[in-house]
Amino acid sequence: MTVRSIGAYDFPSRSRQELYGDDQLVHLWFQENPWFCASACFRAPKAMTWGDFWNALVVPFAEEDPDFDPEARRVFTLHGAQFEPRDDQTLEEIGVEHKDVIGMRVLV
Amino acid sequence: MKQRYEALTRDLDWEPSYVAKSDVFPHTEFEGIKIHDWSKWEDPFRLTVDAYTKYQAEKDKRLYAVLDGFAQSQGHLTLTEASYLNAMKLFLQGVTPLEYQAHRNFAYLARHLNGPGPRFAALCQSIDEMRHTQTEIHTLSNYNKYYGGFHNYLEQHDRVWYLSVPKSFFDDALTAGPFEFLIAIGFSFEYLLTNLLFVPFMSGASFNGDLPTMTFGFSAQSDESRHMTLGLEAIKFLLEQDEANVPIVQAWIDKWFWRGYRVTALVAQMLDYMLPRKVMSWKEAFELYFEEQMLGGLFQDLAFYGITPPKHVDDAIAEKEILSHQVYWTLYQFSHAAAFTTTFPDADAQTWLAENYPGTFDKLYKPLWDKEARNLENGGRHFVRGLPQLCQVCQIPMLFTEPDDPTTLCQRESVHNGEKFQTCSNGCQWIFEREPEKYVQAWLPVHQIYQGNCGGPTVPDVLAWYGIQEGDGGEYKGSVDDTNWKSWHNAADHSHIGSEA
Amino acid sequence: MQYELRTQVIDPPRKTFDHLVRRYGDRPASRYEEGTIDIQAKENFHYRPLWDPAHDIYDEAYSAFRLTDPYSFTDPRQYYYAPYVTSRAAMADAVAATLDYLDSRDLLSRLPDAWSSVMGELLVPLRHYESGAQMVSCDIARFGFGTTITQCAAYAAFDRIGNAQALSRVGIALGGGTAELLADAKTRWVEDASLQGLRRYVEELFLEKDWGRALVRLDVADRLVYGLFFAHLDDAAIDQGAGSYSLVAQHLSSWFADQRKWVEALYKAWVTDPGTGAANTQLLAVTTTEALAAALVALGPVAARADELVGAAAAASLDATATTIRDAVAALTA
Ligand SMILES: [Fe+2]
Ligand SMILES: [Fe+2]
Ligand SMILES: [Zn+2]
Repeated sequence: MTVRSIGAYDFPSRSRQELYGDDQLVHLWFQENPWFCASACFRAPKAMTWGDFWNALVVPFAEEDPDFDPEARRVFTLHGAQFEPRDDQTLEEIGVEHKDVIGMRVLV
Repeated sequence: MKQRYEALTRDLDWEPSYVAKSDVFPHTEFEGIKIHDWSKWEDPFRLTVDAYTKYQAEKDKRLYAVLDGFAQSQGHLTLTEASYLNAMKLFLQGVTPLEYQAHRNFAYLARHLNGPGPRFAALCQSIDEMRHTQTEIHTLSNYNKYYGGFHNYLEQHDRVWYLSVPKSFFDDALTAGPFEFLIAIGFSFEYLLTNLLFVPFMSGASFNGDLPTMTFGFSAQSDESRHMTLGLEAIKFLLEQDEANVPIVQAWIDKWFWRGYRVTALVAQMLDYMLPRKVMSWKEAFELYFEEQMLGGLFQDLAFYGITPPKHVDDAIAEKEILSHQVYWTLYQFSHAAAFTTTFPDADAQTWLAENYPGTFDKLYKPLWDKEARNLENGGRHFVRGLPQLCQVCQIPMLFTEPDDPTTLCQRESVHNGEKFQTCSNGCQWIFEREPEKYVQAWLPVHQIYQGNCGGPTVPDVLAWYGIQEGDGGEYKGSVDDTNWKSWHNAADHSHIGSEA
Repeated sequence: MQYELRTQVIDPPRKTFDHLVRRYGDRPASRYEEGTIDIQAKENFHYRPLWDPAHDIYDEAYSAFRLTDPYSFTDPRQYYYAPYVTSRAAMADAVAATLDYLDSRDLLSRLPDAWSSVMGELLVPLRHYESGAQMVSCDIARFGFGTTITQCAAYAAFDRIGNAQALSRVGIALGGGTAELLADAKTRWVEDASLQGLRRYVEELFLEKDWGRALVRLDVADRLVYGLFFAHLDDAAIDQGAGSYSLVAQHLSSWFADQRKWVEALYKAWVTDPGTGAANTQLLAVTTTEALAAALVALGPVAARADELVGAAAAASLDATATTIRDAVAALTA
């Protein structure tokens, strides 16, 4: 569908990737953990490695959960499929795009 | 009466002949609504200007007398507790600016609708809404002198993350055409949802010793009943004018029900968690005011026109026992970045919640609070250390769960021009996909913070840009309000010493 | 809770809201200020209007008239809603008292015929002029920039309906309690040669998209209309033994005096603005001059008809008002 308007109605997205330069927004979804009321939103360089992403952004955020265990085994999902990130892979190499949602579940 | 009114008001109109009528009213065609006879619009109140001004002047005289008396007698000290004012902070920051927006856009209708009857009705509503803006400010102005959180409400409405929820809602209506605005605000906001939006604040006031707000609420009631009637007349008029209007109006009802309903999420947590003395639970309010009165009453009447209940109403019903808990759990953790405070629900509050939500509280939410209790014992009250994902449409953090599963967050994604946009629900996704050109413009607070448009990169930078001062947000216990409240009450007690009483 | 509250003195930590402290310093604010200053949203509008994608929801570009700070203008009457309706309730009482008096002494039917015609043919049809003025004022109330301005315009819009209703009631009284004369007045508004210029002026004003220009164009016409009907003809009526015309006219002339207070104050704010004053002055001079030329064409036949009926030198009075307006423009650009 499209809007009905008087005259052309076409504006750029106010959240488009180019507004973040070499960075992008990345969402992290703490599945099966209601302590986190919503998914987190981070700004991260596309060239950031998974290891840096994890240590610099995710861990400090997630530590607010007293039961957070950084060493726990986890399943990650992106675009509906599981993936196993390596610490030296960049977000871009993993296939993370602007405003993607990475699912994360702890294996019990 | 009717004749006199018609002679005095309706008949003021004439057919322009020196310029084209479509140039005089250039906004009433593009939405696709067809009107054949503007004179069919009933204006039920038929107020004349003299009757209106006399009646309103009388009401204001009484209201301001109450405000003055309350201020002079330090009436604020008779509230149930200073934490009650969190509800009023939310009201001044979130609702009062909407009254003003309504004022401006009803003036727009009073110019741009083709019929003189509806124009005059809209003009009355326009200045009524100015009245509400100002009487609310004047009512709450006295609290601002003594308590935090009120002092920068205007700038905050334009800037702060949770206030972009009501702001974007009303901006959406203001940027729509005149007929959609009538359905969005005149009908959906003022009629369909008013008992879930406006009334809970006024009831909360009366249960918590807030005489000024209660008096304001009563005083606004006769205005609101006119507005409700206008909303109902508007929808009936559109539906009766042309059958082709029915699907357009239905889509607007579908959109604006969900849009307005999402704003009520803030009200739900207010009722269940913020009021020291509870009025009724959100679930009860929802069942009574929405399910019984609207679905059971109003929509039965509208069925005559071929109108069905709002598209995503079942998702809303499915949420009624979980909504307030999810929202408060979120606000609790984010109130360090807000201009209101939150606190851990104590044993009494939790008992009340368990009694009112027997199916959900103990099972789903008590475990979270138990875990937080352990945090508190260890001296660590919990605040989130980062920013949440927001819904592209309603702009609330994506805290809502799947309609059939309260343990799984609801994630919806749409792609427009190659960019991904997430929404919190079927309702918001449907709204996005109907008019993506509109919602891609959303000024989403989290994204704006990350773009560096909100004062700077750190939390203190952003809070400074929000104009949040020490004591405005965070934890209530031990806050500036809490401390002052206690010391003022101790002082009040001591004033007995040496006096006769 | 039985506290001895009245005896307690608590120094409030705050005097008023932040935006007022920033503007006026740390002092208590008036109710007018708290209810008016900075209320219009300023930033971060979410969407563009579907009916005008080129503008923001509130946008100073809706007019060429600009104020560096829109709140450098305040209403000299300090009207917020409560004092506004209170003042209008009193005005309405006064109008009602006049109409009752006219009615009880049957004064309107005792008017000299010519004056009866002035009222029926020219005065009562002005209810449509007032109704047009309401629409123009509503445009200003929506698209004007800054709450101090738009609030005045919204109340003015409501006043115009009040004026239209007051004139309608005069018409009903003149028609012996029936609405016949109102129907007649409407036909005259649409058909009488003497009124077509004025009707055209109003209809063309509906198309003015710049709210500032619309305000000036309406004000110029108002000054001629009110000067003619409620000042000049008021005097003439007294001279010619038509006192009841004057009893009616006094209310509209006192309303107009009240209306012009804020309009003049806004002009003053426009022309004295340290940043935009020069441009505004130019614009005000040009707009006023153009509007005056058009308004004189519109009102000439009205004055001529009045002179035919009562020989009151109405045309000369129109010229006198025009001279006053021209002098004011000259003083602006001098
Ligand atoms: Fe209101
Ligand atoms: Fe309302
Ligand atoms: Zn949403």
